[in-house]
Amino acid sequence: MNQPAVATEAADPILSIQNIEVVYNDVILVLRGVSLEVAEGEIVTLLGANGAGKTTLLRAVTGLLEVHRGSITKGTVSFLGRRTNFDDPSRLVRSGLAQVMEGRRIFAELSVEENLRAGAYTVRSRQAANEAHERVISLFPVLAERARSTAGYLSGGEQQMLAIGRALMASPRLLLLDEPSLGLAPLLVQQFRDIIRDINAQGTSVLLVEQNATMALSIADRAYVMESGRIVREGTGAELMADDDIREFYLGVGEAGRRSFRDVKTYRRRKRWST
Amino acid sequence: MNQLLQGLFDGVALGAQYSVIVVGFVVIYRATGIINFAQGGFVLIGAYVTYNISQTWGWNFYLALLMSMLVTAAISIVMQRILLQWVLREVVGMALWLVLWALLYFNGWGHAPAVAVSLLVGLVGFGVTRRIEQHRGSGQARELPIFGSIMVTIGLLYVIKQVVPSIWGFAELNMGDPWGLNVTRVGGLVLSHAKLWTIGLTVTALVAFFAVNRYTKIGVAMRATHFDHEAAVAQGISLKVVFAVAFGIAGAVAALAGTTAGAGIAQLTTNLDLIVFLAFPAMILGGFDSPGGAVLGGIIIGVVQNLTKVYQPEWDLNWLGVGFDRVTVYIVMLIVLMIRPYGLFGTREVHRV
Repeated sequence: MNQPAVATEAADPILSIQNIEVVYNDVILVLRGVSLEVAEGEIVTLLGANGAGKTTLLRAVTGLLEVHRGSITKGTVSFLGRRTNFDDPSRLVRSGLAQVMEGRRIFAELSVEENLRAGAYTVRSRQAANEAHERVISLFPVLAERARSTAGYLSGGEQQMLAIGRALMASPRLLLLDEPSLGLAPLLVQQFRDIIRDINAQGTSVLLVEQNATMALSIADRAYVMESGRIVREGTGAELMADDDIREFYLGVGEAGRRSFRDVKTYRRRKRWST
Repeated sequence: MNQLLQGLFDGVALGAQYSVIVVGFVVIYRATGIINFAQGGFVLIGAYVTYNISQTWGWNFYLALLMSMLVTAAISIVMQRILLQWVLREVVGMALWLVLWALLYFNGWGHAPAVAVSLLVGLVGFGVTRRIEQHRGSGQARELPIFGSIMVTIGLLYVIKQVVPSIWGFAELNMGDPWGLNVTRVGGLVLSHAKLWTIGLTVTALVAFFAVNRYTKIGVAMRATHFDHEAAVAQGISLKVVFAVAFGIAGAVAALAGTTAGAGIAQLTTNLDLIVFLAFPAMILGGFDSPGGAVLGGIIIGVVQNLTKVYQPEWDLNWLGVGFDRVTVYIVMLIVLMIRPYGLFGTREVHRV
C-alpha cells in the first residue's frame, strides 16, 4: 500500500488530470495547466496557500464547477480511465468518487442518520447501503450513539466525522478530502490523520487537500505543491518534508533552525517590490 | 355554540383545500427557490381532468381523482422541464413533434398516424440533441434563475387559463362526485359529505406527503437540497430528480384541491384558480419553507375566512361589504407578519451586515 512513488507511477492511475485550465465566469483564469495523478491505493496530498486553486481543482474533478459558473477550458480529467470533463456530479459519485467539502457542509437541519442516508443516495441496493453504514459506524462509533440527534448540534470534530462518514456511505474508490483539519484542535488533527490512514488501508485512494502541511505530508505517499494556479513542486511525502523551501514556507522551519517569521516576510517583500 | 362549531367545521374543510395548495407551493419553493404562480392553473387542470374522466368517460369518481392527480403531476413535471429548465433537447423534441404533427394533420393525414410519425421524429430529435448536449457538457447541476422562472410561471398561469375553457368551455359543470348535496346531521350540526370527504382526502394526502418527506430516500434528498444545494449535489443527489419530484407533488395536490373545491354544492367553473389567491396568505402565514406551517396556515386562513362569513351579518357588519371574508384573511396575515416577520414556522434568515 505505502509504496514509493516509482512503483505507483507504473500502475494505472485511478484519477488522472492532464494540463487542465479552469476559468470562472468566462474570464477569471484560476488553474493554468495543472497535471496530477492519483494511483490506486495511494494517499496523495495537495498543499498550497489560500487562493492557490486547490478547491477549484477538486471542483474540476467532481463536476461541481458549474455550480460556481466555472468550466474546464483545456485539458482532460479522467477517472477510472474514462474522460469525465463534462460528467454530472451524480454520475461521478455513482462511479466511485466521493468528496468531503471544505467546511464540512453537513446538512445541519437533518439528523445524523439522515445525513448518512443522504450520502448513500446513489447506492441502489439496500444491502450495500447497510454494509457501508456498518463500515462507517465501525470507523466512527460516536455517529451511532448520536444517530437521532440533529447534525447541527454536534461538536466540530463530530461534524467532521459525520462529513467523512457521509462521503464513505457511497463506498467510494477515491475519496477527496478538502481541509479536514480546518478548525480542529491539534489532538483531533492527529486522530483524523489516523482515520484517513485507516480509510486508505481499507482500500480507498485518498486525495487530501491541506494547509496543515506537517500532518498531510506525514501520511502522504506523494504530494504536490500548488501556487497561483500551477503545480510548482511534486515528490514523495518524505522528499517534500526534506525540501528546504517547503520546510521554510509550509513547515515553518528554516535551515538554521527556527527563523523569525518577520524576517521571512521582509525578505519576500523586498524581493518582490524592489525589482 | 352550534353556529360556532358549524363555522369551525366548514372553515376547516375550506382550510384543508388551502393547506394542500400551500404544500404544493412550499415543496417547490424548498426545492427550487421559486414561487410557482402557475399553481392556480394546475388546480384548474386537475379539476377539469377529473371532470373529464368521471363525467365524459364515466369512470368511478375516486379512480378519476387518482388518475387526475397523476396526469396533473405529469403535466406539471413536463412544464417544469420545458419552460423552467430550458434544456435544449426537450425544446427541440417538442418543437419537432408539434410542427410535424401540424404539417401532417392539416395535409390530410389521420390523427393517429400523424401523432405517431411526429412523435417518432420528435424523439429522434430529442436523442440527437441529447448526445450533443452530453458532449458539450451543458445542462447539469444548474439552479433555476429565480426571477425569470417566476415570470415564466405567471405567463404559464395565463396560458392555462385560456387553454382550459377552450377545451371544456365556460359553462358551469357538475363534477360527477358521489357526494352531491348529501349531509349527515350530528346534534345540531350539518356535516356535508363533500366537506367530510375533503377533509378525509386531504388528511390522507398530507400524511402520505409527510411520510415521504420524512422517511424515504427522495424525501431526505429533498430536505438536504433545501438546506444546501451544493453539498446535496456533491452527495450525488440529482437536482433534476428533486425538481421533478417537487413539481410532481405540487401538481398532484393541486389536482386534489381543484377536485374537492369543484365538488359538492360548488360547481366546476373556470374561476376555480382564484382559490390560490387565498392560499398565498396561508403560505406567508405559515412561513415560506415549512410544510407543517403550510398546513397550519391553511387551516387558520380557512377558519378565519369562514367565521367572518358566519358572524359578519350577525354582528351588523354588513356595511363592510360582501366578500369581506377575503379581506380578513389578509388582515390576519398582516398582524402575524408584524409579530413574526418570517411567518409562524419559517426559517429566520440571518444576514451578516
